[in-house]
Amino acid sequence: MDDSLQEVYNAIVISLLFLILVTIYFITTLVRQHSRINALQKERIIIEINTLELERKRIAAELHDGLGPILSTIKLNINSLDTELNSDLIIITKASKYLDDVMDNIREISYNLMPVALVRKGLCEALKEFIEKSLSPNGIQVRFFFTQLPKDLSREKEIHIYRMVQEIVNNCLKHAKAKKFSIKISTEKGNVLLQTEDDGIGFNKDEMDDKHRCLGLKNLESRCSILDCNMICNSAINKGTRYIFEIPLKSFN
Amino acid sequence: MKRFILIYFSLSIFIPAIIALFKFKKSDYKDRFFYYFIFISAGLDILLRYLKAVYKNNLVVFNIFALTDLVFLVLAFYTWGLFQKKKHIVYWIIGVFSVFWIIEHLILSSVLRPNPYSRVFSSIIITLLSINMISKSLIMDKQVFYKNYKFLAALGAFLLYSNIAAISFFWFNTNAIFTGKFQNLLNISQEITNLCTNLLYALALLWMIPYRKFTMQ
Repeated sequence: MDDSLQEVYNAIVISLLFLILVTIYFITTLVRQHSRINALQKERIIIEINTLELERKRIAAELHDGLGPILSTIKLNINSLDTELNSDLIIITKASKYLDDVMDNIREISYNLMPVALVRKGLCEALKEFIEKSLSPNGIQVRFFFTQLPKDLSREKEIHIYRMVQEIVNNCLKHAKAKKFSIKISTEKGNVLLQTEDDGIGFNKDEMDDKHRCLGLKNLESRCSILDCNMICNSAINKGTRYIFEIPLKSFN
Repeated sequence: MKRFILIYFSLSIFIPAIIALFKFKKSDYKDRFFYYFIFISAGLDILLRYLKAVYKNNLVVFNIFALTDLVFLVLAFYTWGLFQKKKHIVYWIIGVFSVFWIIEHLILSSVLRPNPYSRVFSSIIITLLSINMISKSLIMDKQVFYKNYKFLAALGAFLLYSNIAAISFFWFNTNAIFTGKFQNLLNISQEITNLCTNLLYALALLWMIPYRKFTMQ
């Protein structure tokens, strides 16, 4: 073979090898950068949600400890008014009733922002209380299947689970037109298994693109990414909606 | 005719150098190392031609090129966020390479003789770093890639230094003896790559955003 041709042949072989190595390295760096951006996104979501929770906690405390006692004092003062006029008595009674309503509303808002039951009684009781309070008055029949949860479940994670259920219940109330709702929380194979089901009108998941996806579903996905959990959502028109969350226990430790 | 075209190709470093001259005053401090890199490359190119014409030996400039290219490109990549503020990696790369360069040029050989190992070493490092920079700017930056100056600069560096690294591999493989025909082919490929790189550098400089002072007015 001609020397020059041999050189070109060698050059091509070496160039190809070089190109292959460079391509492999390029793909590796792309994958690495991609996983970095995913990690950054997750970090951002965690910060956002934690900030949201902190702010909720602060507002709930302000409402409960700041506004509550002031309203109670106002009510006491109004009730202590001494009058013999019938018309004044009616006004005082009305004002007192309005104040009661305002206090109830504030208590409810404060409770929704940061449920006291979650802190005092734990996740299962808090969920029971919330679901019954939200669904039963609307004529939805509720069924609970709760088993013992691991004791080392952190408060932060409990709040995430609570918020997820809150989101599902709100969706059920707003859109599902359901008659029955059931929830199951259990521990299986190193996972906390959260399952919910309703018999409502359901929705077509395939028709929901990113633009039309409601905020509730996005919130669920964000919280899932924080908890490293799998979310399965089965729904079809007139066949109800079913959620399954597999939350790995190790992420709680 | 071919020779003339190649000479013009080799002069192409002055295209980004002229753009850099005009844009330097308003440049962002983050882009300064890239400007220095362009200025030094153009300056060394002039020196290269001068030494070739006067002393018939310009190897000293080629040897210095290997060091300056690596130092300034690594610093430019660092200021563009490639190492995520991990300054120690920059110190390590520059430090290790400088020691290697000094050993090869001042202890084992001479700065006036051809010393390929530093060149290959620096080319491989720059190639790997520019690949990292390309993928980072493709994924992290929200700009379109052809308007992303970091991407364009890294692509330019990748083209040139991967070509140098590949040619050096042939050089080692054939024990530095090439036939005239093959040598010509390599020269042409290198000059074309050089031209493409310089045009990409020029484009990158054009897209660079000028420094804006923070003002409340």
